Formats: sequence, structure tokens, C-alpha cells
Amino acid sequence: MIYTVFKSVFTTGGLAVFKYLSSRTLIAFVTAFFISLIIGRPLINALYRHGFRSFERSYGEINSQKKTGTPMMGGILIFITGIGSALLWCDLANPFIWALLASAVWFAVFGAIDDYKKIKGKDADEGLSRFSKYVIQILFGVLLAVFVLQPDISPLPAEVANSFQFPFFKGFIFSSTVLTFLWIVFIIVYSANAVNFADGMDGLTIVPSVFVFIVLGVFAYIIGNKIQAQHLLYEYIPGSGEIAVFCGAVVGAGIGFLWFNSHPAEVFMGDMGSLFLGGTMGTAAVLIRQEVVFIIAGAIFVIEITSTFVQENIGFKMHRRILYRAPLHHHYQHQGMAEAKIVTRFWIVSAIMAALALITIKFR
Amino acid sequence: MSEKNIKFVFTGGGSGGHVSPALAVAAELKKTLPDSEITYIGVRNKAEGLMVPKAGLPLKFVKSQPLPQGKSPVALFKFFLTMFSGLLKASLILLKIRPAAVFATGGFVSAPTVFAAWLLRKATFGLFKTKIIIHESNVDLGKMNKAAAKAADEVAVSFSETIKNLPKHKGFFSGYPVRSSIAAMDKGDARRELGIPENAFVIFAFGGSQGSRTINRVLANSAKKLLENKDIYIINGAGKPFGKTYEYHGFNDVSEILAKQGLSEEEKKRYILRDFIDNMGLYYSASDLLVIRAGAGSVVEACSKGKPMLIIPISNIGNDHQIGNARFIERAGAAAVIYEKTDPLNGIDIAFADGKEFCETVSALRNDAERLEKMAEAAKNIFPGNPAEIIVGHILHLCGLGEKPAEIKGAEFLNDRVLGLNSTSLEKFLKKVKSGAEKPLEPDEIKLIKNKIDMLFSSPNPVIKARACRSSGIMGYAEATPLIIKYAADKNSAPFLSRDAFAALNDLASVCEEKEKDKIFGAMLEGFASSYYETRFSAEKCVSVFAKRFGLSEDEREKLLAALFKNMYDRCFEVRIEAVLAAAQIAEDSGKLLENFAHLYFDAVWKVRSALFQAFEILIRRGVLDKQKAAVEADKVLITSNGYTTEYELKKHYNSVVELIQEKKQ
Repeated sequence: MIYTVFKSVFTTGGLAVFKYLSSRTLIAFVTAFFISLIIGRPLINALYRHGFRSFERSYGEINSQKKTGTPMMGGILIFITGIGSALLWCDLANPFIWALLASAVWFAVFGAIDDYKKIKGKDADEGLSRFSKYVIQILFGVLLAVFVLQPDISPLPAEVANSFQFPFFKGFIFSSTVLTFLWIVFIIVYSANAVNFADGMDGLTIVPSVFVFIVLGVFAYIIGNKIQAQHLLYEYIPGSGEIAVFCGAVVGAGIGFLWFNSHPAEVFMGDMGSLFLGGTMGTAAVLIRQEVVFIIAGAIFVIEITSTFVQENIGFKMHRRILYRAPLHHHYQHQGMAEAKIVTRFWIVSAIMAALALITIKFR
Repeated sequence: MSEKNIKFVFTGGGSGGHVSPALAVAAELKKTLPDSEITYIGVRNKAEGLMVPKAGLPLKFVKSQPLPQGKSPVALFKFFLTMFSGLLKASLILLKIRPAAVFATGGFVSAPTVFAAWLLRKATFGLFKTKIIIHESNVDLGKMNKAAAKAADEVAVSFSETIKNLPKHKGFFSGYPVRSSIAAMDKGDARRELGIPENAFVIFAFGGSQGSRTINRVLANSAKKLLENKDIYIINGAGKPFGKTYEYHGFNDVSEILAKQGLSEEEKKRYILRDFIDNMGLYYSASDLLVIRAGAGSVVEACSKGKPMLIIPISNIGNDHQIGNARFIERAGAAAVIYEKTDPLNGIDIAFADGKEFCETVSALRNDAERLEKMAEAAKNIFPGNPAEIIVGHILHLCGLGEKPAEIKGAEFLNDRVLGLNSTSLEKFLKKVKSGAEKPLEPDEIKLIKNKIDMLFSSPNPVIKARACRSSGIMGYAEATPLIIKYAADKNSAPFLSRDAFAALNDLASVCEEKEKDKIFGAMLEGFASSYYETRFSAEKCVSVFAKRFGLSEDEREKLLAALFKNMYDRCFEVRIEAVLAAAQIAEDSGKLLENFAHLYFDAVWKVRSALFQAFEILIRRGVLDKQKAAVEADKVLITSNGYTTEYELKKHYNSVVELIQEKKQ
């Protein structure tokens, strides 16, 4: 919104700096972060007051060694600050931003419903069924794929929309509309689920998510800039630079959330947070067609979802546990490792993987 | 719409139990409105295909199928496809007939018609005015009926209990409609027609149109013993298959068993074997005791005839509605009940009824004329009113053709807490009993649960067998120990099964018999070397309890320790931990033990090192290790760890206040 104002009013002069992508990305980041600091405490208190807490079985059974009673659905904090800042600083006429906002609202709303049902039922099994979650994710994946692949409405150039790009290789590897369609649906379902599974320890989801958004933001900035894209041998996608501003806003919101969520957590993001992060992350990656980079940067999420799959699907068919526990962070916890240690180590791995994803820019 | 040409659609089926109430209501409706037209909608190759034309109603077919059991997406997709096609066809039929009301008795067969009627009503904004009425025959709503109840205008139930699970003001009690065609006869006339003497004791065993394997087999196997009494006559409606899929041929099965029994000519005369019984009224009238299943239909029919019953309910995992029905009749004083069971230890995994128990129950009843009379009297009083009449009254009221019938209440159906449990919920329930959250088990409940656990053991699925092991352990089912030992010792058991078998043995240590000792120690040694880590440490956990229970010979101690020392090198930390703890419980020589502990002093997992300290404590308390030596050893162990317990001080103070408020604290 502010962008629109500045664009029409300040065509020249010092304040025209707000027109630049890079400066708006930084400002979006700072705005989201400071909104978090300001509204975080009252919002968390409000959640607690209205009973949005992780379940306690009954009055007087609060385990002083466990986290029961911590306010849940903190995803609403990330959502308000991230989307609020994005609305302020993004170009709202940009179709990439429409898609991102749509995914944000879609996943946040369904995540909120899921959280609400769980909290009301006082049981993690009371939320949306796995089946309906898949339906919701697949439906969005299909809509996004149509948006990207339908030439009349797609903001992407037709030859970019339906071709696959891989890191370390320049240009397109191959093109196929059908495969791209399936691939996009898969990426959306994968990212929403993977982030959801990773949500289980203080700060375990938010920091790797922030790293992934930084990587995606850098890529969006390059791909959306004609000179940079040509220089670094990427396919130029006009208008996609705006995604960087959105990423900046979500990064700011994420770090603002970490302020409260760092161990020992004062608030949990819940499914509202994890589905929102996973959904927008996947959408952003699809919109710049850098899904493989996204998978590398979010390697932690790959590990988490794979370990769950191995344990639940392969292991159960073999009638045995393959890991001690799943997802992987519980495997280490079962061995007695303290939560703060596991989380820090996962951060280290995700930082390294994010750096690796950035290095692929130059090595092609 | 004139009253003359009023049209109705009836649907429901799959099995006779869904068709016959529909036919009973149809007959009653025809009696009230002779000019009405009733069309029946069913599925091809099911019971309705045989029974409906016999009743003289036009029958139309749609496609439908039961909800698939697993989570396979292919099966689910097929299901949706079938239902969709059924829905389309049913809609066409309904549009053509434009009935005043649809009456459904549930089951998957009725789903397309019910939902088609509902959708047509919604889609035409009420222009299509068909009313929907459903009848539920069991206590618990079926899955399809649960969904259909939302679409229906009214739901008739066979048991008052069901009403509370229905949307408000939709349910009414009717009872289970029975065919009125089964005319009662004079007992003497019926016997004369069958050639049975006046003073005989006639047992009429009947397992539905397809026959019941359990009833047939227990009866045929007990024939010789029962027929020793010269006044006993047995009538057995053994049944024959009418579908293509049902493989059990009752008549042939019973004939074979009887041939092996070596009955005399005179005895054969007193065993009247039939494959299919058409004239039920005749046989009902002639009999003194009915041996039946507990499907709602057969039970209600028997009650309406006022006959004493011996009920053998079907036991299914997770669905005990027949047992529920049977216990309901038993409590009302109209029946004796024999439960089916399996014998997994001897490899009998098909449910059967115990022959000895059966003979004893029959002869006890035969010798107690007074009790039989009371049972007959009780049977008559269980179901008041005429269910078909009530339902027809409601249908007509909905169509605007009559007054609303008065409400009546059925007998109270006590819900048994031990019924309807599947392998998972059974385990949860037993845990609650153990922790005191549920009342302790009554003797008859224990009997039912033991039957259920046997049945779980008979399941081909090792995960269910494993849950049966755990449940046995929790409830202390000592008789299951030999079977559990077998699972624990068998290298080919599924990993979860052998793990849970050891966990169960751990629980059963105090109740199991002395003679199992050698087998248990053998199983433990097998378990230590299992290829699955959870089995290895579960076996190790058993060491100390069984050492305490049975004591150890020197030889056994040596063998166990040698295996435990080996397991201290295991790659799984839990196996190392339990090996350390088990060894500390049984070792007599501290020197050798410490030698084997030494390589664990810098173990990467702190929990193993912490187990060492627990072991030192055990050894000192047992007097095996002297304190000076322990101090030296403890100092060698790495005490840095990457784990700790969090403690939220605020919550501690909160709890302390709550305790004060709740007066747990002085």
C-alpha cells in the first residue's frame, strides 16, 4: 500500500529510495520484526486468556517439567506481522504477490481450523484428518499449477513456466507441462507437510524456515532483475523480484516470532504457523521455478519428513521400529539429548545447507 | 395426490437381517393402505434378490458397495465411483416414481437411495417432497446409517438406547419389525405334523438362512451325548449358501460330522436335519428350546414367539453387537448365553462354542421346567408394541395422512463397558482398570475379555497379536503364558510381537506357573540374540523379575551373564542399558562384572553411563560390591552429559498452590 503511495507521489528525490526492491525488502523485514516485538506480548497473553493452550488434561495436573499450558496457535503472530508488512511494502498489483497472499491465507486458515479443533478437543488426534489435510494441500497445489501453467493468466513466460531447472546446470533441462503440473502439486504437498512434521521443538521450525526464505528471496531478487539474471545465466522472470519483498517480510516475522519461541518457548506456532510457512515457502519456490534449490536449502525438512515416512510406512510394514523415534529430532531426544542441543545442531545443518543453496548461484 | 395411488420406495439389504424388517413394514403398510404401490430398491446378488420377489414386491437394482476397510486410495476411489453410479440410478428411479416416502433399513444397500432422495430434495429446493425414514436394527448405529440419519426426517430404532446418538427429535423407538407371516400353531399339532411325541424335549437350532458354523458344529458334535436322553429331539436348520461368495455349506458340514458320530438308527430319527426352513412357524411352535445367534432379527423373532433361548452370539473383533444383544436378553431372564471362543495355543483360530459347556447348559435347562417357563414368560415381555405398526404410523404421519403415534419406551439396554472394544481400545481400557480409573472387572467381564484376547491372538496380523500380548500382561491373564512364551521364543515372530511378548512376560511373572520356568529362561536367551533391538532389551528387562520369582541355579546364572556381557557391546543404547541393569541384579562376582563394565565408562550416550551408576547402587545394596571399590570405579566414569531435565519453577509454585486448594497438602 505504502509502495503505491510512494510510486505516485515521490517520483524523484530522496524518498524515491522506497521504490527500490532492495530497500523495500529490508524495510519489510524491519517492519515485520518490530510489529512482532510490539504486538507479540499482548497477542500471546490474549491467546492464553482465551484458552488457546497446549492441552492440559485437567486442572491441577500441570507438569512442572513439561511444556503443557504454553499458548498455542502463535502462527497467528507470524501471519499478522508477515502479511501485514507484505501488504504495506509489496506492489499489490503484482500477480506473484497475489499468489503468495492467496497461499498465505489458504494455509493459515486451514491451519487455524486444525489448531482450534485440537485445542477444543484437548487431543492432538482431534484436528483435521490426514485425508482432509491432503485434500486441502492438493487442491491448492492444483490451483497454483493452473495459475503457473495457463498462459492467459500466468505471470511467468511460457517457456519458463513448464520447464525444469536444476542447480549447477544452466538453462532448461527439459520441458513438459504434465510433469510440471504434477511436480508443482507435489512440491506444495511436500513443503506443507515437511514443515508441519518439523514443528516439535522450540525454534526448530522457525529458524530453518527463515534460512529458506532468505535463500528464496535472494534467488527471486536475481531472477526478477534482467541484468543480474542474464549475468548469472538465469531465466529472467519479469516481476518476480517482488517475491523478495514478501520473503523479507516473512523473515522479519519469523525472527520476531523466534524472539518469543526460542527455548524455553513462551508460545508455539501450531499448525497455523507451520502450514502457513510451508505453504508460502513452496509457493514462492514454485513461482520462481527453483524448487530444487528450495529442497536443498530446506534439507532439514527433507530429513524430518523422510524419517517419519521411513518409520511409519516402511517400518510399520516390517513390524519394527527403524529409528528409535520419528521425526528425527525425537530420535535424538530419546537418546537423552537436551532439546536446546538438538535444535542448535539442526540450525547449524540448515545454515550450511542454505549456504550451499546460495553457492549454486555461482557454480553453473 | 390421492390416497389411492400413494407410492412408496423401500430399500435396504445385503443380508436377510436388513430385508425382513423392511418386508414386515411393507406388509403392514399394505394392510393399512391396500392401494398403495411399494417399489423395492436393492443390490444385485444379495438377500433381497431372493426375498423381495417372494413377498410380491417389484424390485429394482442399483449399484452400491460397503465402505472399504483399509486406507487404500484405489479401493476408496472405486467405492466413490460405485456410489456415484448408484446415486445416479437411484435418482432416476426416484424421479420416475416420485414416492411419498422412502423407507430404508440401513446397510450399504440403502445408501444410494437415501442420499439420492436427500439430494433431489435439496437440488429442487423442496419441490421434490419425498420423506425419508430409516430403521436401525442394532444398538450401535452403522457407519452408513450414521451419515444417513442426518439426511433422514425420522429414524426408527430397535433399542431406546440408540436415540441419544441421533440428531434431536429425529429418533423414535419402534422395536424390530418381524414378519407376521410366521403364524403361531398349537404345540401339539405342530409336533404331530413333524412326528414328534407329545412329551419330548425339542431343541430347535437355527443359524439364519445361511446357517451358522458355530451352532451347527457344536450341535452335531454333541449329538451323541445329547441324544442319550431318549426324550430329546433336535431340529437343526443347518443352512446352505445362496451367494456365490459364501463358502460354508452348513447342511453338508453337519451331515459329515453326524456320519462320524456313529448314531444309531433310532438316534438319527431324533436328529431332524434340514438345509433350509421355509415354514418357521411350525418349527417354532413345536420347540421347547431355541438355539440361535443374537442378530437383532432372530432374537426379536424368538422373543415374539415366547420361547426360552440358548444364545451363541457371534464374536467379532471390534464389533460385539451380538454379544450385547445376547446379554440384554440374558439380563431380561429369557436366555442362557454361551460365548464363542478360539484356542490359539492349539492352533484353533476359527471361533467355536465349547461342546461340554453346551451339553451342560442344555441338560440344566431341560431339568428345570420352572426356569424354562419363566424364561418363556420373560421373552414375551421384552419387546412391547407392534414395531411394524408403529413405523407405518410414523410414515403416514410424515406424509400427512395420519396422527402421530404415541411414544413408547423399549426395555433399557445396559451398555456393557467391555463390549465393542478392538485391540487398541481393549488395551486402553485394561490400563484404566489397572490404574483405578475404571471399576475393577467382574468375573463375567473377565471371561468375556479373556475370550476376546484369545480371539486377538488368533488374528493373522502380528500387530494385533502383539496387542493381545500387552493386554494379557496388563490384566494378568496367566493362562495365556504358554502362548506368549511361544511368541517370545520364536525367532520367526514379527519384531513387534516378540518385543511385546517379553513385555507381557514381565507383567505376568508373579502369576505364571512354576513349570514354565525352563521355557521362560530359554526364551530369554533367544530374545537376547534377537535381530530386533526392542526384543533384545525387552528380554533383558525380564531377567531380574524371573530371577526373583524362580531363583537361579549356578549354571543358569552363568549362561545369562555371558549373554548379557555380550549385549553390553550392542549398538543400541537401550540394549546396553538393560544389560547393565540386569547383570547388576543377578551377578555374584563383582570383579568380572566391573571388567565388563569398563568399556562403557565413556559411552557416547549418557543414559548408558547413568545406568552404570544405578548398577553400582544395586550392587552395593546387594552387598556384592564394597563401597571403597565402588567409589574408585564411579570416579572413572565420564559425568559430562548432553541432557538434563527442565524444571519450570513457576509451574512448581502453581502446583503447590493447587495442591493446597485441593487439600492434598497439610
